[in-house]
Amino acid sequence: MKALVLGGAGAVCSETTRDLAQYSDLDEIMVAEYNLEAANELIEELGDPRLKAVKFDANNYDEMLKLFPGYDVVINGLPWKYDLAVTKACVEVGVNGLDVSTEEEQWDFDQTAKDKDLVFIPGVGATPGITNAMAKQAAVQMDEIDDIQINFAAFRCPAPAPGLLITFLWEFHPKTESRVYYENGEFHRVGPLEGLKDIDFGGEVGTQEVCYIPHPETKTMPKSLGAKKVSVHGCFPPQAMNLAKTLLEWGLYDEEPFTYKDIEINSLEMIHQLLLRSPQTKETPIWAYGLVVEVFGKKDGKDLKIKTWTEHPPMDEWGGKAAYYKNIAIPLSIGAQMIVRGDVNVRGVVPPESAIDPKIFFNELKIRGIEIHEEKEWL
Amino acid sequence: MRIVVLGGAGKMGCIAVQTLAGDDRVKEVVIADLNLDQARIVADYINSPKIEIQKVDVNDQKGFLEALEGVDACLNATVYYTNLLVMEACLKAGVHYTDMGGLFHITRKQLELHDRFSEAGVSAVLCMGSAPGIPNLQARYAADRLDSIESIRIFDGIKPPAPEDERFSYAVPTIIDELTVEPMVFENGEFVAKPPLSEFEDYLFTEPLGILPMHLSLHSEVATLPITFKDKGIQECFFKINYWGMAQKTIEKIKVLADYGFASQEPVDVGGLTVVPREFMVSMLSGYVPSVTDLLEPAKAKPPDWTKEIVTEIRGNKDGEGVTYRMGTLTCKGALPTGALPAIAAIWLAEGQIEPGVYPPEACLDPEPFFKELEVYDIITRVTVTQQV
Repeated sequence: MKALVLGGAGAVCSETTRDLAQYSDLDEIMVAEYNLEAANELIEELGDPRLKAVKFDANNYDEMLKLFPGYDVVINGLPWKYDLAVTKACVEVGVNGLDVSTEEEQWDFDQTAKDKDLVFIPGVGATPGITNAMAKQAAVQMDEIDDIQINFAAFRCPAPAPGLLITFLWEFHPKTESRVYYENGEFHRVGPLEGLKDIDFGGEVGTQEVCYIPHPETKTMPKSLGAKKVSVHGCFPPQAMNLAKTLLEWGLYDEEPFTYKDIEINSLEMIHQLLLRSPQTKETPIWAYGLVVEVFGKKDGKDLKIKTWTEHPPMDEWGGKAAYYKNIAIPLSIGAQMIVRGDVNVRGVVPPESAIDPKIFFNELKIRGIEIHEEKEWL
Repeated sequence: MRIVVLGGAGKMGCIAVQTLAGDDRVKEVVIADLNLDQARIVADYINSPKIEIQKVDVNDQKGFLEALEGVDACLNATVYYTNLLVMEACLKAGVHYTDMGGLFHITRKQLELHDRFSEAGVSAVLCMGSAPGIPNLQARYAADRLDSIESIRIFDGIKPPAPEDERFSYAVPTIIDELTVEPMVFENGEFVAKPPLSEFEDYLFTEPLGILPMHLSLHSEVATLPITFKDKGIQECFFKINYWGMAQKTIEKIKVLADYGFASQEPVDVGGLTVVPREFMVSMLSGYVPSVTDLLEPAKAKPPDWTKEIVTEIRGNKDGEGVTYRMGTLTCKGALPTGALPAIAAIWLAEGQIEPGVYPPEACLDPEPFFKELEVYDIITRVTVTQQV
């Protein structure tokens, strides 16, 4: 069995490559990287003969079409702007695949994927990813699902990698249309930093104030789990939240032309570029990921709440930044291994809660140190 | 008497121009600025026949020297980074000089020009903003009455704006520096750097100001007072202020941007354009500074409805007894002393009242007549002396 890991030497996905090398039965793990030097360094460090590297430019679609055939799974660890192209290419060449975020248009390839008897799972990271399995695990214990409340604390700096800075800025952009919650059959659009509430994530993260965040779980779960209400709230470390708040309140998200040194520039674009180049945006005191999912529903006519939450080793044990990255990268690796092993039976472009068996997934997470806890409460 | 106000179209410079134009001793006031449009707004608002406008770039030495011809004193109201450059030009032109402060470190460098100014017969009075300036004179008043000094503690209390008022109270670059550069204090007879926004304490000001939360800030008084009063045995000196007169929320936001690199002066390349993050931040926030016409408006309140009190507490000994002087200077318009102080200093300089050389205010200005001059503008100084019965 062969896996192709796109961006497999990157900030997040290098942890996927490590996990595949340590835990998978794959015969070949091909790291496809624009930065071939980084890929070779990682391979040398891991010293696993199954690892190989190939130069890959994600901006070249034809290159994808040439590279993908022959693999049993394509693991997409690239920034989200490539999600659509990678999904399209997988479906076109007939290769299974998965990634860590979701683009609405990816679902358009569902029927073709079914026709070709393949599966592509968008969003197999921490959130979306682990949270979908947590919601599914709770949902299968209920007859009716009233409300799914997903909460996350992404404890990382604003710009650990270029793609993650884009995510950070986009999640708080006033014009982001996908910041919605679902209720009474409709999606309700909300603004940045709205719906504030406190959530206890435990561990090093502790209690944090979260707000509505545009996330795909809100879009997929009304249909996949039949939930009447779905919302995703999240936060970054307090200092990063203050940055988002300052940018918003001072109107620095305005994309109106702005004159600097007699040149008209887009203020947000310049802020983006400066944040990308600033050493301070690469640091944060605690690296971690907190996930809390609360599902409210009915079982045998009685109101039931099932709360699940994650616990992972602290940054001291998990190697600093890796304490954040592993929470995204390990699920991606497990998801890929489940596809290859035949643990995923559905076909098409499907969300994680429809494709992944939470029991198998949680067992695999536990082996790597990520534990899922559950608490039931009859209301 | 002809006085040039460099940066006279700026937020503080315009008030100095207004003060000078209203003073009978002054015949001509020149607004020397790069921004002619704003200079015209200032001149139109003040509407005085004494005012003249000149486009001056301090980096163009030839043009700048021409502007200094026939001038009795130069008041530098530009950002403090230019102080040394402007002083060199004044030295060359033989024009007396004053400014609004050099945020400790630049002031120290300026004082090194003393011998050259002295030899050239040119006088310079440094640090004549509101603070620095007033605390230096308050300290001098007490020092003249004490045999020894233990400590000089300065508390600049400003009526906080409404939380939603996110405007800057004065020069954005200076505020960013005050927020990000370590404050210097004089502790146990030595200069020590402290973290910005540290050592909070509540201080009671004259009503209606009441109790305000005060924190350390880098300021020029601390650079000069321990040196000037060294012989009196001074061991302690600090400067504290309440969020530089701005809403706490505004300060926290600037701090967030600064913490993420926007206060950096290291140029970075953005697609071929060289960008200094700090300059970009200053440009971005330029819309949050009050307009010059707002600053030129008369005070909205009248005494005793004070909006600012600058307090200096000087502890020392007289005839073997411990004595504390609490000097409080009150105003109903916070920005007024920042313009009025250097304007009066410029007049005194032009009148030849100051010996040649470079001096901090406490070393060359007699506090009592100076405080009398400030009274004209409803800037009132009070003294309370505390000693054992």
